[in-house]
Amino acid sequence: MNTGRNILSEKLDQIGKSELGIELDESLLWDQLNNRLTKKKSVVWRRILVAASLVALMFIVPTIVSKDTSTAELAEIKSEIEKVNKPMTQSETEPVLEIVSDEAMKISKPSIIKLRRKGLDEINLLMYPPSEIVLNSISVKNKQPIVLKKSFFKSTDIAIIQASLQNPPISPKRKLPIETGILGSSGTTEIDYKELKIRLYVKN
Amino acid sequence: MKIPPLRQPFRYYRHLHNQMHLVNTKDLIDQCKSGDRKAQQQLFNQLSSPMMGVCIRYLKNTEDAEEVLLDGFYKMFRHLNRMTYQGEKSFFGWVKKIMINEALMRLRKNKEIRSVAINEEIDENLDVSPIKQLEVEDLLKIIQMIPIGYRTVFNLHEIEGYSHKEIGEALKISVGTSKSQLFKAKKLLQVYLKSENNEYRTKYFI
Repeated sequence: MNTGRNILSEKLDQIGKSELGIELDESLLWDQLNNRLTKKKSVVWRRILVAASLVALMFIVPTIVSKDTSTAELAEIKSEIEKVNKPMTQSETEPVLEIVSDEAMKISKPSIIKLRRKGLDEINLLMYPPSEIVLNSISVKNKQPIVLKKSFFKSTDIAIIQASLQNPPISPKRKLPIETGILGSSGTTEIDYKELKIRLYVKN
Repeated sequence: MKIPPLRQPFRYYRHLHNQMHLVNTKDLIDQCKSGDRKAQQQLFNQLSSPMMGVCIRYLKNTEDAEEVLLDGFYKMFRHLNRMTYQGEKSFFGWVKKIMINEALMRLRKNKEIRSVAINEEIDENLDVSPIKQLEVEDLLKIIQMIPIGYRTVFNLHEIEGYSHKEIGEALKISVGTSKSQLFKAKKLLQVYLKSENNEYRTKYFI
């Protein structure tokens, strides 16, 4: 752009209101401009408010949602506990016991061989008076401090007990506090399944 | 030939000075930057006439010119904080450039600038220097008589000092088109000035 002196430009740049050839209502134009500037300001404030609200929501919503979720989880766990605590009916247990009995027959044979090696007699074991072994207390420490109580089995049949111990419903490596009632005695011990199996036989 | 006297002193910022007895331009701009509405109104009042002169030179009617003036001032106040003050002349030039850009945008929006290839001989040295002797009011009137397309190129080349290349870039037209549009504008001006019935001829050249 040529920045040298330009008479035309200089003349036109210093044009006055009376020389425009039109009526220029400055106050009216200023009012319109002022409105636009004010509107812009309010729009800016509105945007700031919206942004602040969004930021606030970003913090509040997850808190509410997690609260709701934890409440829902708690309710679910409670209902699960109630369901588990409800004793099973005869019709419910029979098919399960049948399956367990069949499985026990398959499993008991090698177990008995192992026991013989340890000097325990199958007959002797079976001669013991029927022991009612009840495993009914398992503490499952999850995120929530909730204790689940569940009866895994209740039986006087040694084969069933044996089979249940062979196929624990949880990882065999986990140690669980197990309440046992053997020959009228009861106690709580923390033991793993393999150990429990042996100890039961040894004790019996 | 009677040559009308030029106004003295020739200052771009005459308007800024006229009403600035108490506050200097830099202070006024600083106040405007801080959002002082009264200062903004004062600056608007000081600059509205020359800026309206710019807008009316480029646009077809007063309504469009007023709208562009308001758009220009709105942009000016919004971007004032980014402007580094380097004197009144520079500030005036900055505001003027905003107005010109706004006017060009409006012309483009209204599709009033057409890239028409004109295959004709162009005399780049066509003399229209007598218009320099016109009073500012008459100068504005005669410029407004030129059709928009030619007038835009004339304004940019002869008044703002843009090169044909710069005009081509600004208006998205070729250098050749810019040159031919300027030639057309000058030719028309010559006709207006030489016409026996033309008031300018009787006023200034007889």
